[in-house]
This record gives sequence, structure tokens and C-alpha cells, in this order.
Amino acid sequence: MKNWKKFAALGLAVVMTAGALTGCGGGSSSGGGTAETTAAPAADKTEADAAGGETQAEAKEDAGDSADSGELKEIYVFIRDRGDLSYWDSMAEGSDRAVVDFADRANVHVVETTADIQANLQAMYEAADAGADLIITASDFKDNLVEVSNEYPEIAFTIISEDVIDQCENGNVYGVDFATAQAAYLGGIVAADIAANGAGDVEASNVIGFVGGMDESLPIQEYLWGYIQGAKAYKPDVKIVYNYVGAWNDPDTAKTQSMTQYNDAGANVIFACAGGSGNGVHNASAEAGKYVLGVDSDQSLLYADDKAIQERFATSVIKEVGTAIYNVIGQYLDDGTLPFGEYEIVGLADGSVGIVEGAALDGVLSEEGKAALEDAKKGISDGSITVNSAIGREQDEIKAFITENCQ
Amino acid sequence: MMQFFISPTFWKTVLASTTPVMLATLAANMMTKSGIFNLAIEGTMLICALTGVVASAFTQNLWVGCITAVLMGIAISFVFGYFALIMKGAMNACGVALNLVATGGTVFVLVMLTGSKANSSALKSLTFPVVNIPVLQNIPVIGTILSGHNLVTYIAWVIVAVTSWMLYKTKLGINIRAVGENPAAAKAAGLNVIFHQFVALAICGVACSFGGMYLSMGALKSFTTGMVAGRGYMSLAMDAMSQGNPVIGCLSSLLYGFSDTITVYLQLYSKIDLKLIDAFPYLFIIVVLVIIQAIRTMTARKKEKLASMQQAA
Repeated sequence: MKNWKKFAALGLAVVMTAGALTGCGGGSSSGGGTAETTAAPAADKTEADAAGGETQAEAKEDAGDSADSGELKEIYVFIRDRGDLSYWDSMAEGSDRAVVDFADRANVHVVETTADIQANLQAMYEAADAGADLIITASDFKDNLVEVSNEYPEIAFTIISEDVIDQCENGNVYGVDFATAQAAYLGGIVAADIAANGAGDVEASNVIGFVGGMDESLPIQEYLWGYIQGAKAYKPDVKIVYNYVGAWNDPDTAKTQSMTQYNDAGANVIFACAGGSGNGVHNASAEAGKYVLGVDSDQSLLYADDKAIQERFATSVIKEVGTAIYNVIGQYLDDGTLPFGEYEIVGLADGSVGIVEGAALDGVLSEEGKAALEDAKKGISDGSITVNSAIGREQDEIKAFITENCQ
Repeated sequence: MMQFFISPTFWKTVLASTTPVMLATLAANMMTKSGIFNLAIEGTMLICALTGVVASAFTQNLWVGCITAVLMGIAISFVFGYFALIMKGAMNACGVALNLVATGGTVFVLVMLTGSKANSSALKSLTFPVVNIPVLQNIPVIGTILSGHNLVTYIAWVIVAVTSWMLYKTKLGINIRAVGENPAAAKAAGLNVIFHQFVALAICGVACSFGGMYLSMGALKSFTTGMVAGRGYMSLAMDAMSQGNPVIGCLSSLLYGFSDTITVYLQLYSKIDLKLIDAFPYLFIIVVLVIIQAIRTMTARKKEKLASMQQAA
């Protein structure tokens, strides 16, 4: 038994190396822009990591085996490289929690591959062949999930953040998505309040900004969509300016754009939704002495050593991807099945999205803003306020809404 | 809509976003002049950006960090030189290999030191100060545009000036150019070809290291994975435009900085489709390249005609 597992781990490592190498060659065909130039070569390095992580998971599994040789479910979570301090880290965190908490009932494997779709696909086939019971993955890897789920009808699948249920033929896929627009709505209220009433040493300007990573990326548009609705609901005449960096890893361009928004357009707050480029917005906020909103997780924690930047965070709009994964695994273990064929959207009421509250936020909000925020939270949770979501809409409609409401 | 052209902050932003590309272009210029094709500029910048951050974080001394990064830049360029010039490897393959090492290696080192694959903000690294030039900063408009830049921006101008003086006015520079134009002839004239190419590589390394440090220790306060984001490759285009001349290289990178900054403003103040705006700097550069090339062929033809007419006469 043990030998077989070692063999499997070795095989997986070899396959991943091969995957990484082919990835380097074929990198230019997948995706466009600058993001892919780093994505493909990065495979070089993370391939070793992924293999390492897998061996660790195997070791854990061995320990689990000796402790309890009963019916352990094999659950695989496929994530992209950790360390983005937002989406994938959140997923990794939730999966890591599941590894420990559900150790008596399941072997949860957290498999880390790079942005390389091909490497991920091969790893997913390996997992399916190794007798997986449940496979979970998210966004980028949606096509892989569709392909594997169509070949393995007996395995359960869960996809996060992408509605591909229609493409899956076997009725074994469950989807979860986040109504992040609801959280961004709250972010919009915070931003509009700071813009309208000023905060600290920042004078009222009635302009708020947004910096997105890439245009036509649905998660980013979902944030902007909610942000606009929240800001306009609180202050109908607030001016919204926005930029797209055009890359997830170009903080310098992001900084240039934010400095322009802060200094030329007069924005008081910028909502930074730009992955690695977001760092440039955070830097700019400290330089301009204005405010910034973080995204996906409490990003002010990134700057524990740099108070000048940290104190510029009004709040962060968060999406608890990890909690969602943890809940899916828990539900699967409890019921032995999942609501297949459904695409569930979780939101503020489920505690899956929200904004970071605390002293920093209280310090920048006016009394009026605080009241509006509380009302909005209550209203969204009980359904009296509807926040429209960009999910499931056509690009034309989304863009028309954005141009109509922004400058 | 176009009133931002008269805004001094616009022009200041142009100068700021030119800096890393200008340094990379200078590196590419040196390579062209010495007859080397170095694709590894992007990777060298990336490695130096991280080296500077790490060294300054561990020593808590900006200058130690700066010098370590500069030495690292020279070392990486020498590694390239060793494989490409001494081992006679294919230059483009060596360049690509180094770029791959850089993208993967920087993440590897970053994870070992900080546990994060994205950002070095866990490290307390130092940054180059912003310099306000006395007297100049009090002049309206010009003061806003020229003063208050990061120290690296000023260093970049100095490096460009010194290098172009070196290339055209000193014996070393003339030798380097001779080696680049015709290595066989230079060798016949008694020049040490490899030595001069390595001197050029060293200068390339220094320029790359400042380009990288501008991003991670100047404009921004931390290293982000892949933060060079194609500026090293852009420099090859700028180099093609300037054909190795550092002064023209400097001007063409200003052109890039200009078109890059204009996209930011166009996104904010115009209703032009975003995809078109994003493509603008690259389209702009291609158009300029075509025009320059057309002028070059025209003048070359005229010269040829003139020469043949003189011969006939």
C-alpha cells in the first residue's frame, strides 16, 4: 500500500514537471497580455512546490490511515499558488482548516499547481485515477473540471466562482459563487461617505476611484458593479473614476493610475481590485495621503511594518472563499452528497462576503455614514435592499452600466 | 478633454514612468553597440529588484542594498556573457534561460524569505528618497515637472549622460563600438574582443539593476512577483528605434513614457474603448518605428544615388 502511494507521488511529480515544461512552451497560446509571460515561467518553480506539497499531503494521509482505516473520503482541492494574499490564499486557508478538522472522516489533499492550465489538468486526472471522492477547484480551472467531470461520473465535483454547470453532462457538479457585489456595495457606501464628508486630514471632494486589474474580468466587474450601486445609493451625485491596469503584476502602472486619480481627478478613496498590481495603489494612497479599500481579505495586515500605508486602509471588501470551501467539504461529509446541478450564490446573509470593521473604519466614517452602513447591512440581509449582481450578465450590459455611472 | 497636456503633473508622471524603461533601454543600447543580443534584460532587472529589497532589508542600509543589487546585476550579465560569449551558446537561448531563471528564482527566494509568493511587504526594506532640488523646485511648472522625483530617476539621467559620453568620447567607448561593428576587424587591430564585450555587459548590468531598483525601492516600497512586467522587452523595441545611441534611446523611452502615461489619462477622461487605449503605447511605438525606418531607408537610398552619381561623374 505504502509503496503504491510513493509510486503515485513520484508519478505525480514527474507528470507535473512535464506539465510545467510543456506549459513553458505553450505559454504564449494561453491567455493574453503581460500576465501570461510570468505565469508560464513561474511553472518552473512551483512545480517543485506542488510536488512537495503533495508528498506532504500523502504523509498526512498515511498518518490518517494508521489511525483509522475505516471509510475515509478522498477529497482534493486544487488551488493556484499560495501567496496572493487574496483569492487563492483564502481558498488554501479554508482547505487547510478542513485538512485538520475533518481528519477523522476524510483525507483532504490541497494540491497547488501554477496558473498553468495543463499542469492542473494532469494533476486533476491523477487525482481522479487515484480514487478521489470529491474534487474542488475554482475560476481558472473551470474547463479542466468540466472535462474531468464528464469522464468520471462517479466522482463529485464542486466549482467555485464559475458557472459551468450547463457544460457538465453527468449531473455530478455543484457550483458556488459569491455575491461580492453586496460587499462592494458596503465598500461603496464607505467610499462615498469619505468623499462627501472628508475624513481626518482629507477634505471632501465628492470623487471616488476604482483601479481594476483587467477589463472584462467578471470578478472585478462584480466588485465595481456593487461599488457603484453602493456609492450612488448613498450619494447620488458622487463622481466615480476608474482605471484598469491591464495586468495583475504591474504595480508601477497601478501606482501611476492611482496617483492620477488622487491628484488630478481628486478622488478621496480608491478601491484597489488589481491582484498583485494592487500594491501600487496601496503605495500611492500613502504618498497622496488619501484612502484605499483593500480586496478579498483584510489587506491592511500586509503592511504591519509600514504604518504609513496601513493607516490609509479605510476597510477591505472581503470574500470568504475559504469558508465556502470548508462548508462544502463539511456538507459533503455530513450528507454524503451535494446539491448537484445547482449553482448557489452565497452572500452577506451567509457571512461569506462582507467588509472589515473596526477602529480604522470607525475613524473615517461620519455618523451619517455609520447609520447608512448599518441600514444597508440589515437591508441586504433581509432582502429589502437588492444589490444587482454582474454574474450572468452580458459584457455589453455590464459595460453600459459602468460607463453610464462613471466619469 | 485634452487639457491634461498642460498639467505639470502629467509631465512629471511621464518622466517617472520613463525611468525604468530608460535604464533598460540604455542597457540594450550598450548591448547593441558591443554586438551582443541580450534578451535577459527583463530577468536581470527582476533579480536586481529583489536583491536590492532583500539586501536593504537585512542590512538596514540603503547603500549596501543598492551596491549588492548593482553587483548582482553585473554578475547576472557576466553569467550571460560566460554562456553566450565564452561558451558560444546561442544568445537568444541564453537570454530566455536567464529570464526563466529570474521569474521562477525570484518567487523561490521570496517564498523562502517571506512565505509569500506575491509580495515582499513582510520584509522591512528601504527605499530611495525623493529629491527636491533647491531653487528649481520653487519655479512654477518646471519645478513641479523636474523636481521631486525619486533619486533613481536622477541617477538614471546621470548614467545615460556618462555612458553616452563614454561611448563617443573615450578610447574605451570607441573600442567597444569597434568590437560591436566588426569583431574580426577589431581583433585584427589588436583589441581584446571578449574584454570589451564584458565591459559593456557590466554597464548593462548596472543599468538593469537601477531599473529594477527603481521599481521595487523607488516608485514602490516592496517587490511584487513579475513587477518588471515587460519593460525589459519594451527596451529592446526602444533600442531598435535608437539603433544603439543612448541619447536617442533616452528620447525614445521618453516617447514610451509619454504614450504610457497618456493611456492612464485617456482611460479617465475619454470614452474611447479600453482595448484600444491599452494597445495605444505599442501601436504608437510601431508607427514611430515604421516612420523612422522609412526615413532611414530613404536617406540611405539618397546617399547611394549620390555616390553612384559622383562615381559616374
